[in-house]
Amino acid sequence: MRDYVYDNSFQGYLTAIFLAYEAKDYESEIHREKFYEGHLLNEVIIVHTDTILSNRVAKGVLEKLGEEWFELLHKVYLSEDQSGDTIAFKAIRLAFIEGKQVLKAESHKIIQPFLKLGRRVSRECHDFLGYVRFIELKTGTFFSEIQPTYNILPLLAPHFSDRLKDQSWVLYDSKRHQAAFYDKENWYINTLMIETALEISSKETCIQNMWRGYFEELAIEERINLKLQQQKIPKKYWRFFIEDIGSLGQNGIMNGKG
Amino acid sequence: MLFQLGENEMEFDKKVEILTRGAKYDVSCSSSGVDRKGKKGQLGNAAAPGICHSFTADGRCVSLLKILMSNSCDYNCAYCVNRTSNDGERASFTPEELVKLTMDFYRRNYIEGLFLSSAVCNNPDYTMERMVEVIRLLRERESFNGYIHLKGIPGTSEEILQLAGRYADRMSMNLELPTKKSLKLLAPQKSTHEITAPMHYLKDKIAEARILKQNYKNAPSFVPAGQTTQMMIGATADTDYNIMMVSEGMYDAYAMKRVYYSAYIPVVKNNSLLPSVVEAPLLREHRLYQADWLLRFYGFKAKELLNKKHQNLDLELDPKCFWALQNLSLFPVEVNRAHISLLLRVPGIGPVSAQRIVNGRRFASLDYDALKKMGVVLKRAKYFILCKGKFYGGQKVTPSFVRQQLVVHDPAMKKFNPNQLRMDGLYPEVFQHA
Repeated sequence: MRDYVYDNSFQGYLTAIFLAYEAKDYESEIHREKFYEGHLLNEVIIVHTDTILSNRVAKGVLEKLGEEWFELLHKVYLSEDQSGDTIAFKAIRLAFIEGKQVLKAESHKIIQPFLKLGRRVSRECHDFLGYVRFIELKTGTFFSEIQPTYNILPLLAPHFSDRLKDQSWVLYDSKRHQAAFYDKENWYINTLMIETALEISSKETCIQNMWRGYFEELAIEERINLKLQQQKIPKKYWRFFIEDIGSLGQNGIMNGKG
Repeated sequence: MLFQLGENEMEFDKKVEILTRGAKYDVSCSSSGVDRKGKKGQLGNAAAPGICHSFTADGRCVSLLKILMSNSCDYNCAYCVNRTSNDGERASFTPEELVKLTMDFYRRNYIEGLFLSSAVCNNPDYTMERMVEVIRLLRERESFNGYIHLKGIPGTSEEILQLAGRYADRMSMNLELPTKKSLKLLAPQKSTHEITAPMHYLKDKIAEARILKQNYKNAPSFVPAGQTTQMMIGATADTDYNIMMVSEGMYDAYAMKRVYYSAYIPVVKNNSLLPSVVEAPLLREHRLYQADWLLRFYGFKAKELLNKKHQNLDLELDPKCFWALQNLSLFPVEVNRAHISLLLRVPGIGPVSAQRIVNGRRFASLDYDALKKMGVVLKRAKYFILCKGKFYGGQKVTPSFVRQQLVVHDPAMKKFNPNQLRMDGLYPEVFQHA
């Protein structure tokens, strides 16, 4: 058995798929360096990322299996799941044999975990389209800090570049020290370390207060259901919101009910 | 650019609070139904499935900035927090203030767009014109390309509706109450005709615009996300049968995208005529939504769920379970063979699960574990299905046995207080002539 270990990049992952395929190592595992702990009995193959090879895999998946498969492959890669890289490799291999419609084999032992990981990433991505909060900096740039469970930055950036088209923004994943930068034309992802506190624009505090007031007023006392709220927004996300999630309000509008 | 907040900051914050208070009872929150890409130099786009931006302490989603233009109302509808005879602070926004608020919130990704409503000031047309001015400024001057939901005021003229429809993604005229009689009692200044006439007009114009759009790429859009409406429940003696028949009519005759139901919440509390503690009929509202979903996504007809004998939905059981127990002879169904329309009638199986089953069984026949792995919820379904000929529901199924099993486990039963509230109990003097 062989373990293919790549440099954490998506290109590296696709290269690993190419090499494993070429060597007919269909039972082998693929791991990213970041999480690889080594296996006593397995031979380790270090993958050197090669964009020519990775592009061939990308092209092959897109042409033979279609966009849906390619997107899923990318999402499972972004899930950063320990066994995700191997699961996706096996799923791709299965699809090349059985055809792309094998994706509908919901109960298949390879397809099922593959879809599950992909759906988890899609779901978090969709939630974050709403949960991201931007803060206006003194420079006029809008800044947002997030800590998603999965590495969804590459999925969020296209959405916000289409939506907030006429303002420059930075979307910062402080868990992974990666940020998406948008300059009113294009977006790109790069590493980012923030050492000094950022200065906010003069009107920012005022607008944030208005939003908090609005949000608090919106809840209907007779319907208070904090459990439902927490079910919708898991606690791990709370600290990045502007509004007070999980609170009954400063002014006690809820009269201590709930 | 300097940030201006009207005359003074405190005042504006207060205004936002007052005008949110008046708007929050409107249930509609969805921002779905249009898929619109961003355009160069403009702000915003619209995502077809809609996006929730937050959830309030009552667990409701926040998608649009839901707010009133004004709460100074000339009408005196008994159920409404903004009615003339209600004491309370009054406030109004200028169009400029609302435009600014919307843009500032949207740029920070707080909201998906604007949901603008208003109390009736002077007359319907005057009120509506001011609301249209807000969304015209947003679209034309600010190049705002996000989602706009505009509430229609009953009795608005067609000229103004036509203008409004050019800028709005979705519009809604609220039915308020399911019968003419109830409307007359509680909202004497509104008439059924004033509500349904604009609905009719919107329906025709929406259909017309859709056809034009198919043929001409640049044809102007008109309320592309369609129209919705809302009914209050529990304020009058109307039965669930009345309500669901009206809803079905709304979907069939007016091509409504959604009918919303709002449990009546007594908004005036310091009135000695009223009981001091009352619970809104949240469980009943929940059951109505379940029934509504059955109409729209499961191929049910209102008459299958309710009839002259069963005029109200069972509060202990969800409507599909109730129906299934009445029709036990149809079950159990074999998941590996049953048509999708029949799978959809199995309690616990929804459109997503049904589709997964239909997909999955083409590759391998499905057993109980396979269903579980695919994410099909079997708590209820197991009493109504066979997997490869095997039944997993335990002993012989009788309606009373299944009922007992399900009621105990229904999470909705734990969440809600089933106390019913009716307005005729609260306002006996209004209802004794009914």
